[in-house]
Amino acid sequence: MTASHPAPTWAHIEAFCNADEWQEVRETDHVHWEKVLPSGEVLKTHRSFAADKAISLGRFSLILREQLKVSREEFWRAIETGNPVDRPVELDEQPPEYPAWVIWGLRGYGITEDQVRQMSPAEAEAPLHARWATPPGKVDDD
Amino acid sequence: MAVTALLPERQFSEAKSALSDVMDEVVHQHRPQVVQRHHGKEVMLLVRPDDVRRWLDTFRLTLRVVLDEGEVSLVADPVGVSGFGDSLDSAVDDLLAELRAYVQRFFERPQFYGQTQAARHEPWLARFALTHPDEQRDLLISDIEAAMPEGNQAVVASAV
Repeated sequence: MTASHPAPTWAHIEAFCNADEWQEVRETDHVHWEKVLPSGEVLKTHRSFAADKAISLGRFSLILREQLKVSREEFWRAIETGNPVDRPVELDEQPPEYPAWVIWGLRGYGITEDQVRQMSPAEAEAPLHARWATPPGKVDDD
Repeated sequence: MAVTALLPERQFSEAKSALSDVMDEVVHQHRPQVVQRHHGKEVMLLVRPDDVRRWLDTFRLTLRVVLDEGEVSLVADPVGVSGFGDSLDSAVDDLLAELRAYVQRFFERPQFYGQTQAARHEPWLARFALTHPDEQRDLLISDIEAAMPEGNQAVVASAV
């Protein structure tokens, strides 16, 4: 949440898609939208949860960057004005990302996602490499 | 005009009258069959789904994760499909549902997607589509494990 904008919800994603002239392509238990850019790139997004559910900061950044291809500023501007975004726009910095195999591997050693979150991506990989470098039977579990 | 002299080839009328034999060749002998009509202007290839699935085995999805407090977000590259959940497991489940929805949309409108940059997603989506629904989750997990540095997949698998 910023000083001028509310915490984003899935309803805001839907409002953005309407303003930015996305096409609703299918409705099962999730709502999907697509938009074809002049470059031929197909953007796609969906709403997994109830419209009023808040979206966490990292997830919102991911959606803006990966799915909507829009900056935070342009996202809110589109909702406020009802006008589509004039792409390309400079995207905001991406949140820290972890390869899924790191999360999966650490889970095998009892390290939870919330514990991984306290580490940088490089720090998260280190315990795995240390384990793998240790000969079988020599693992110190303390 | 032959598509290739290297694969068994039949005219449409011949294939139609000998469909049982054609299917035996494809299913039991694993021999792809080229069928053509209108003097080779229209051609199709008949092949076992599991053979195609094997051919596509190198088209593994790469999964990236963003973590928030109590929330896990996954992105599958290069198809750009996301899954959201409150744990890795629930995010994988959501990703599965989203991949299924995208695969269904993609192959319902192949000509539309074929004219976009999404056309390059086809081998990854076909691999997923040709995997039995009961095995699609295992497929994603195997793609996660395959991304681990060489030789460590079994170590982690035994620890999980």
